[in-house]
Parts: sequence; C-alpha cells; structure tokens
Amino acid sequence: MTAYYRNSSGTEKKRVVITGMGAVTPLGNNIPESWDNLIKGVSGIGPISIFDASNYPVKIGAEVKNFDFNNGVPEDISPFLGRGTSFCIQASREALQNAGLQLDQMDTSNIGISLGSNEEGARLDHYGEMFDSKTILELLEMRKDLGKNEPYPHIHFNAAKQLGAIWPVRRSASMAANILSILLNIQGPVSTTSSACTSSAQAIGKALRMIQDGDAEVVVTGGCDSMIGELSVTGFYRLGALSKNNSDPEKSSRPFDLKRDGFVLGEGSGMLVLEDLEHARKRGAPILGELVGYGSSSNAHKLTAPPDDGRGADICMKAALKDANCATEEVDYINAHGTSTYLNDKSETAAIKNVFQERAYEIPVSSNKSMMGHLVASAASIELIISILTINHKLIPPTINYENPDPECDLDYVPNETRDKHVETILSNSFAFGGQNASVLVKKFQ
Amino acid sequence: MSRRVVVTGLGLVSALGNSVEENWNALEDGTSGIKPISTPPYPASFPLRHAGEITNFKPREFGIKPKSLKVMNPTIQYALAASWLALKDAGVNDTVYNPEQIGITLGVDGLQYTAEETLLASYEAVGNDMGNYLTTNGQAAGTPIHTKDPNLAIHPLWPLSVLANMALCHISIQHNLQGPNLAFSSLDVGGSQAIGEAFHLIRQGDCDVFIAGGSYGLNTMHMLSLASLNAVAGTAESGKPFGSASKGCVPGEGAAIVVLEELNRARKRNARIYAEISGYGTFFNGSAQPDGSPADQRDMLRSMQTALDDAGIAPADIDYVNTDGKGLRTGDDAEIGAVRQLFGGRSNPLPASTCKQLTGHMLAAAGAFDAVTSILALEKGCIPGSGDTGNLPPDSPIQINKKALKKEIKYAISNTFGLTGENTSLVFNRYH
Repeated sequence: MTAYYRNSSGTEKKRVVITGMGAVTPLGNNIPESWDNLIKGVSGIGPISIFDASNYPVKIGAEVKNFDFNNGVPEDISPFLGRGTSFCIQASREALQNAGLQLDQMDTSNIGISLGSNEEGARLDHYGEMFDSKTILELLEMRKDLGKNEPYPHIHFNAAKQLGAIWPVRRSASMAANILSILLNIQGPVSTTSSACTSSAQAIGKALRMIQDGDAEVVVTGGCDSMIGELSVTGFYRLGALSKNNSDPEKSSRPFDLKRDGFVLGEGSGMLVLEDLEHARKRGAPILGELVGYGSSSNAHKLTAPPDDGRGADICMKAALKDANCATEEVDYINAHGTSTYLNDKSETAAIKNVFQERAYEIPVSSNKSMMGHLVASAASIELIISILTINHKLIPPTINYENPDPECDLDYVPNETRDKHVETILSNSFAFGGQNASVLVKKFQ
Repeated sequence: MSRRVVVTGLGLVSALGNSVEENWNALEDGTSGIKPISTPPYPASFPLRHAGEITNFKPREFGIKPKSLKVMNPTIQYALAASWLALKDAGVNDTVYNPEQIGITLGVDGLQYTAEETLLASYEAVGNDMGNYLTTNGQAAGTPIHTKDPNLAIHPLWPLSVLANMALCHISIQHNLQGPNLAFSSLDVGGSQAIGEAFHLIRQGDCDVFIAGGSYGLNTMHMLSLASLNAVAGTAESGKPFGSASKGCVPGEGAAIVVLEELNRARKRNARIYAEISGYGTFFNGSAQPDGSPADQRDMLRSMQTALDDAGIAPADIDYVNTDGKGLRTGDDAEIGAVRQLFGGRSNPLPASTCKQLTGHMLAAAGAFDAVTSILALEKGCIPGSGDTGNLPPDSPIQINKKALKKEIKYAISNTFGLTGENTSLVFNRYH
C-alpha cells in the first residue's frame, strides 16, 4: 500500500484521508445523534423560531435545536460570533477529538483551515447598531423617487452610529475561519471560500489540493452557515426558491418528488479533518475514509436556472472521477445535491444520466436535504460526512417524502426507507445559484 | 519537470483609471486617485471623508448590458470590467481553449449589499412591523410606512446580487468559461489568494488556464464597520502607508485580474508573456488584527519565506518588493521588521513601493492589484512610484520613491498582509 496514487493524467499525488468528523445539524448537535435521526428518516424541519415569522410567506426552516451557545469563547472574541460560527466551533472540536488531535500545545504550522462560509444571515435586531428610524424613512423616500427599475445607486446612509458598528465585519464570511484558527491554535494556511451552496465543497476541494501540494499535512475543513433570518428568508422567497408548505413542515422538503415546490433553509456546520495518509499513519490516527477526487465547473448559462440538459453539472462530476482515476462503474452511491426545487432536481437527474449513461438507473441516489433542509454553505461538508458514514455503516439514508414519481426524475432515489447496502465509492454533488458546481469523490479506505 | 505558469493578460480598474495603461501612468507618476467621497449628503459626524473611488466608469465599454445592471452591484461590474480587459489582452477565449479548461478564481468580500438595499429588503420582510425594529435608544419609530407601494419592493433577483460568488458566475456567463473555479472571501487577501491558488492549480495540472484576481466595490456600510474597528482611515491626512500617526489607509475600490497560463500552452499560441509566477505563500497570524505582538512579524516572515521556497530562490535574489503598507503602526512596523529579517544587511535598501497611497485600500482587490503592479514593474523594468507616503524609519531596509525609478528587476515579491490576520506573498520573475 502506497501513500501516493496516480491520477488519470499520470501525475503522482499524495493520498488524503479523513481522520475526524464533527457536525451540528437540524437533526442533532453531534454526529451520532444526527446520523441516528437520519437513518430513522426523521425530519428536522419545523416552524421558524429564530425570529417571529408569523407574517412571512415562508414560516418554516430547519433549525439547530437545544444548542448550547455558551462555548467558553473569550470575551474579546465572542462579539464576533454568529450562529454559524458557534456551530462551526462545536463541530470542529468534535472532529479534532475524533481525530485524536490536541492542538493546544503543538507547533501547528503544518495544519491549515479551509472553510466554506457565507456571510451570516442578516438579522433585523442588529439594526439598532447601525441605523436610526429617520435614516430609514429618508432612504425609503429616495427609493420611491427612483422607481423600481433603476439600478441600485451608491446611497450612503447619513445617520450611522460609528461606535460599536462591528456588525458587518462580524458577519463577513472570513470571520468564522479566523476565529477558528485563533481558538484552536491553527497556524498554517487559512482560507475561506464563499460560493453559496457549493462553498464547503470548494473548501474541501481546496483542502485536498493543499495537502497534495504540500502546503499543509492536516487541514480542518468543512463549512458553516445560518441563513435563517428575515432577509434571507425574504430574499430566497422572492427568488421563488423556497417551499411554501407552511402547514406541513415535515413534508415540505421533497427532493425528486413531483409535488416538490422549493427548498427549506437550514443551518448548521459539518467539519472534517483531512490528513496526508503518511502523517495519519505515523501518528496512528483512525482512518474513516479516503478523499480521492474533486472537480468543479461553471454552467456559464443563467444566474437563476441550471440548463435542463444537466450541462455544467456533468462536467464537475466527470472532473472528480478523472481526478481520482476512477471509472464510472466503480461509483455505487450518489449523495445528490437534491434541493427539492423543480429545476435543480430535474437538471441534476439529467446530469447524472449524462455521466453514467444506462448505469444511472442502477445507482442509488438520495438527498438528505429531505430531512435536514438546505444547509447552504455547510451542505456539502455535511453530505461528505454522511457519505463516509454510509460507507462505514453500510446504510444508505433515504430521500423522505418521496410519494409522487416525476417522469423527468426517474432514477432510484432510495425512497423513504434506509437501505442496507455495502458501498465503497460515493460521489457527492453540490451546485450553487449562479451556476457554480463542485463534486467530491470518497472511497472506503483500503 | 514541474509545470511552469506565466502571466499573459492583465486587467485593471481603480481610482487611477479604467485601463491598465491609465493605472500604470499614475503608478509611474505617483499620482493619487484619492479624493473627497463624491456622494452627498454627509452629516459632520460621518467619519469617512476621502476614498479612492472609481470615476467615469462606463459598464457598456466592458460588454455589460444595461439591463443586467440591476442585478450587478459595483463589485460585480468591476470584476466583469477587469476580466474583460484581461481576456482581451491575453487573447484568451472559448475558441482558443476548450471552455471546460478555462478556470476562474476570484477574491470577493462576502458583504456585498449597501445599507439601502438591506433596508429595503428588510422593509419588505417586516412591512408595518418595521417600526418595532427601529426603536433605538428608546426613540419612537416615527410615521408608519405604507407597505403596498410597488416602488419600495426590492428586485426579485436582489438576493443574487449579494451572494459572494455572483461576480465569478457573471464572468463565467459573459465569456462562456466552464472550468474549475473557486470564490475566495478572505477580506483583503482574497485577491492574492485567488492568484496564488490559480497558480498552484495550473502547476498541479487541474487545467491550463485561469483568470484570477479580486474585486471590491466601495460599500459605505462595510467601510464604516472597518473604520469603527480602526482598520481604515477616514481622511487622506490621517491615512498614509508608513505614516507614524496613521489610522489605516483610506478605502478604495476596483478590480485587478490576471490571465495565468501553463508556459507551453502560452508559447504554443505565441502569447505575449508579461512575467512568470513562481512562488506563493499564505499564513494566518492567529490574531484578529496586527497587534504589535511578535506573531505578526513571524507570520509575515513565514508567508514570504514560503513563497521564496516555493519559487526555489533565496532572499538575495529578490530585487523589488511590493509592500502592503496598510497605514497602521503595528502592521507597518511588523512588515518592516519582517522585511528586514529576510532582506536586511544589503549595501543598499531594497527598492519597494506601495499602492495604497494612490488607490486607497481596495480590500478584496488589494492583493491582486499589488500583484499586477509587481508584474508591470518586472515587465517594464521600473519601480513604481508610491506618492506621498509617510516617512520610513532612517535605517529602513526598504526604499520607497514618490515617482517611478527605472531599474531592471529579475525577481519581485508582492506582499499583502491582511487587516484581520491573513498574510499572502506572491513571487514573480522576469520571463525571457
């Protein structure tokens, strides 16, 4: 067994393994709890409680529940903590503990962070920090004069309070990775990728390359997000992307089902410890799986919709397979992006067929978004964790709420029941608004 | 033999001008683009007075359709403009390369919306209840607002214009680029990380050509926040790189994009080669802001050393440094200390320049602008001017000039040391 492999273009690359995982999800505040609920087919979706959504067109979300926000973070840092960052700290601690890494007293210049994160979902109760009511009325008056089709101008607000106005920086995407680095004493390269729904897939791909390229031997990677706020809910509703099934939240997210009507915003964090195989062996680390391939692509099509023929999404799946020198025949489960929007599920189905041809019908494809909702920047990292658990537990989590077959979505979506199956090679997809795609390929370690 | 990567196209828009040529002319003369902020009105208490704002920007000149503007904030428009210029300059398009083989990496800050947009969206969200949210310091909310006015509705596509990856997606759509991509959101080192990562991805064989860089549109809400954290200065007088009493640099805006290509592919199509990119290093210093602790200097040093090792060269090989010069005493002192540790002991101080006195701090675009400046310095055999910066200490290991100075350069290092602890260094060399 060697610590290197050759990819399809003959380049020798270091092997990269997963040695630790941690998660905070709408189904549980750690991995065992989340997994347990997942294979039971439990829905983590319910009425929004983070803010009063009673007058909103969308009143449902997949919230993290009973989370202890009191996480021993020093007082000078705690004002910068958003919900997503708090989840991320918890998930990272779980991942490092599972990996058997105690970083407090170590030289960690060979350990990096690659995190996928969006700006923290804006909450109206923070506005008092920035605006007073007079300003808002003035701005709204100016807006009326402009008319709705004018481009957005640079209007500067004129009654801002400068002191304590740290909210925008607190919400900036890079804050989570920076705080993580400070709290965990990680002194290697740190970066934040921010590409909406593919953020953490890109972060994981970048982590893989960091290790293969020798920039780091261990990378703490994954994503975190919490977009359940007044602005995000309104914004995604206006885009027509959210499910409006307020009366039956647990049935609202129904990927690949004919009656699907949009995704449900979720929150949480999934974190993984990626490690150079040699480094992991040397310290006797537990090896949970091997990350063998990564690919990304752009649709170059439309901001709002993927092409019906799955073009673009198929490029990144093929690129991930090529990166791993893996034949399509080897893939025995696909963890789908499967958002439960009409367009995504149709386009993803077409893309899977483009890549796997006739074999597409034999590969189980499921979407955990049916239970967890869409965790946006942390979706891909949670899905990679689930894929690794799928390999290790020999259980494929189902797509729940699959009741009405859609002729345009005709693959095996593992409907409603967890399936016993020995799988070794899993492809996990993530596609973002705007047409950014990323796929990762994970294998049973042997 | 490892794959080599060269720069074959450049694109710049900034307060210095909306083309590479205009920018270079200003860099040669040391002319500053910093002016009083243009958009009134401001109360006396508004802390930001000066900025490096883009002027005379005509989106149509860069292939941007007027009807698309409503989903494009300034960050997106500048990113499109600079990438348009860079791709034209390089002669790269989807017929020269397979579009699946042209990648994009872009550094863009996460926070993309203006105060006005935020308010409109929230107004739409809460409607009449907004009054409840507006009571600050016990003040009453004022007149209730009528909710049904369609002119107050935010555009349905608004959420798309505020996602950090949208600039990248617009570029991919405008030029039909379908290859690998990464959107960085690491505040002010996003642009230099994007260039460094694209370089490594080409070297590793992910694909043969990347467009890479950063973009930042001035956003007062964001700036004000940085000002309250003492990271950017409000006036030109109080914000100078290496100024002993400076409070950061004044904010600026713009975009800088490079086209990077694998050497053999570039040669095969007889591309004009500006320079070779040969080294990249990035380290986080483990503290939220440079605070004068030894860690600041240590991690700037590590970032530069990693880039030199990556390029396989010694400190003595470097003959120009593009400094960060963020105008904060702790940061500038640490930077000078780190440069002294690595490049000190020379008979003459190392020739250097800083862009921030001329452009303002362009945040996500800053590192990419620094990189393009370094590339132009190499290509033109000329140390750029830095304008009217603060004074360096008498025993400074670097020398900075107001105006440009002719000098052959073989190896340049471009440093971008972040306001919140990230450090990035890039090494470029002359290509013959």
